[in-house]
Amino acid sequence: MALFCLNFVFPQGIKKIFKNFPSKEFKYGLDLKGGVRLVYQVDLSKIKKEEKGDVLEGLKSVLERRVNYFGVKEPVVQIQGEKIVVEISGEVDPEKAVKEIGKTPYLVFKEQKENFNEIIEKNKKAIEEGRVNEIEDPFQETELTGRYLKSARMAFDSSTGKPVVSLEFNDEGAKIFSKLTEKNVGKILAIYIDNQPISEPVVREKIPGGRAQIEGNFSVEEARELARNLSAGALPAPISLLSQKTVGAILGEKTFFNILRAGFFAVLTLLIFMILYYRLFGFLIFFPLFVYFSFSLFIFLIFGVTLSLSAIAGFLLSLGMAIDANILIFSRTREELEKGDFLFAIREGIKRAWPAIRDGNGTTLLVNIILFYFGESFVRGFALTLSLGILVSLFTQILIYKLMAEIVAGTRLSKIKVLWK
Amino acid sequence: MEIDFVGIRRFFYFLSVSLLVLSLVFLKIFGIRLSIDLRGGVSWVLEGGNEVLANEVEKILKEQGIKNFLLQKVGEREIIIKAEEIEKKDEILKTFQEKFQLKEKEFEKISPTIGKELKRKTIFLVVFSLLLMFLYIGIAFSKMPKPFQNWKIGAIVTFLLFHDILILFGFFSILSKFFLAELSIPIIISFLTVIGYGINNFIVVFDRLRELVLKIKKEKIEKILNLAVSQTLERQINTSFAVIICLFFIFLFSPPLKWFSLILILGTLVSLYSSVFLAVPLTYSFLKK
Repeated sequence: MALFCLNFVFPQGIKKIFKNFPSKEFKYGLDLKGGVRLVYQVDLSKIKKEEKGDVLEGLKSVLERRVNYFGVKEPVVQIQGEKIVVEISGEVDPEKAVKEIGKTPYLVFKEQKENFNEIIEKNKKAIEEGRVNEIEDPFQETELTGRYLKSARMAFDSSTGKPVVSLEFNDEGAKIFSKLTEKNVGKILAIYIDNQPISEPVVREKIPGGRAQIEGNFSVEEARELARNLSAGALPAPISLLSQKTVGAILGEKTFFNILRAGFFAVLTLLIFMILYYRLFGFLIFFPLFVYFSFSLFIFLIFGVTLSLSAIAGFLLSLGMAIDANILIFSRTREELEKGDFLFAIREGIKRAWPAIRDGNGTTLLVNIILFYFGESFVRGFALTLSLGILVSLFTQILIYKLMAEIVAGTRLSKIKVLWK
Repeated sequence: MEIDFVGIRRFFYFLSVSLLVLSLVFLKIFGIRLSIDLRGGVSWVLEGGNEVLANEVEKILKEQGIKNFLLQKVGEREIIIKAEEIEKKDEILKTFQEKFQLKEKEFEKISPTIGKELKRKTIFLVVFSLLLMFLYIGIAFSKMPKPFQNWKIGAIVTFLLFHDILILFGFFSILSKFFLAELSIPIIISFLTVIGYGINNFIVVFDRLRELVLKIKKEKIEKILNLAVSQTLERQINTSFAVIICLFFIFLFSPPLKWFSLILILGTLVSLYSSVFLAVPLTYSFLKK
């Protein structure tokens, strides 16, 4: 039994000395740390179903690289359905953040439609007749987007000496580019960035090497800027900003402090209540509760559970339910004390209370699993800590309590019934 | 303390029916304010305003032709604008920044289709949870001796859970009308948590009932039923108290979570009420039928 106890000194110890493991620190949610949260809608309409996953992943890495330019620790970029959530913590100017991310260019190559010349004619007529909004795009998008871009550099064209942006595609991209150039010899293969045509070169021959050059009347600065933006990663699909939320760091700190205060008073009140109502049993909860806290926090630390406001609330609620279990046990134990001796009462108390504890916590866990389907970060944080807290509490509040109680059973304290009833 | 729960059941039936009717009435006349999570639309929080500016902002919005918007002043410095759509938001923001030195604290746009999707999801989740609870009770109490039947108990518990939620909804409707509470995702979560946690109380009572029925053969059924409730009364109150304490401090110290915790507190209380005064008496009423 003593071994059991020792086992649990370890996690508590580790939690306190976690400075020795510098890589592991608690992850805090944005509402406690302060920062900016941006949600982008990804336009996957032109992407084939099988490729949607890849495109989203590619988009995620592009944005991660871009956000890293801010130099903040651990930016969070997550895929939620067809949305991308970017969280940048710390003191961040949301305007700047949106602009920087917004600078991620959407690069796509467009080829001429079948009826290219007809459309050009129609458009000319429409402009002449002032029907400007009836202009049709004579180009159609190909599948060659920034997704396949390996690198981009500023260079000087060998013949004209003008600044250009030199692109290099990855293997897949090179293949696609090769096919496209082969198909469109003599025709225009237009290069669009952020839906603006930058360059409309005529393809002279099939290009198998996967290298292309964008000549667009750039100044040196413009070419350099474009190359830099493209290298940071070009978007494989267009994104639009859906929502933007800023939490000031000061407000974040206040919120954090407040919820800790709530937790502190809750624990204090509960302990006082338990001692007043259940006499000495109340004291028996001290150690199990201590282990409960350390162990839960240890698990949160190890598994990198993000501690957002809702997560901490969930943890507090699980605390209430942990005490719940002990209340059930103590009530029962007191009844059993009438009939038998201390040790018997302890064991019977646990045995009889267990079905109710099991069912009660079981249903809450079930509902938590359902909550996970919501997919919202608020829900997940809450459900996760509540569930983990319940699971840990089942262990600490029952087994460790039993341990303590049995230790006490051997002492003289247990004979003095009045202390317990 | 011997209270004849079964005997006084009619009073509580009446009370519950009144509460249910009242809730339905409130829901009908006051409705529930939906947050943009569920409604779709735009929520815009600007910082740095004062009384005068709020009126100016309102004027500009009207000039820009923004229809159906709602403007609130929160605290000393925040202005919250809610609308279905704010076109040219960036331009308007520039105007606000230049003219009034307002800063954008938050901007959220949720398409109505997503909102509808979420509404559907919510209803599905609530129904599914209730169904799950029904099954769980049915299975957990499958060894219930006659004349009790596990499915009847399952039905009673599920009905009472539904009853609790409905009363909570009615109450939320009042919060919504008079305290500007909005039904958002966190609030939905609190309702679902009430279902998951509330069922605990019923389990405790029926668990004791099962134990007593198996043990005591020679008493009138009413007496056994009453005993089940009175014997579990103490722990019901104490466990509810423990949870409410935690929630109370969250409510007190954590303003962002205030509606969330309030709903949970009320949910716990209503759950306590129905598990003590309604669960067992209803079982009795159903026995005779």
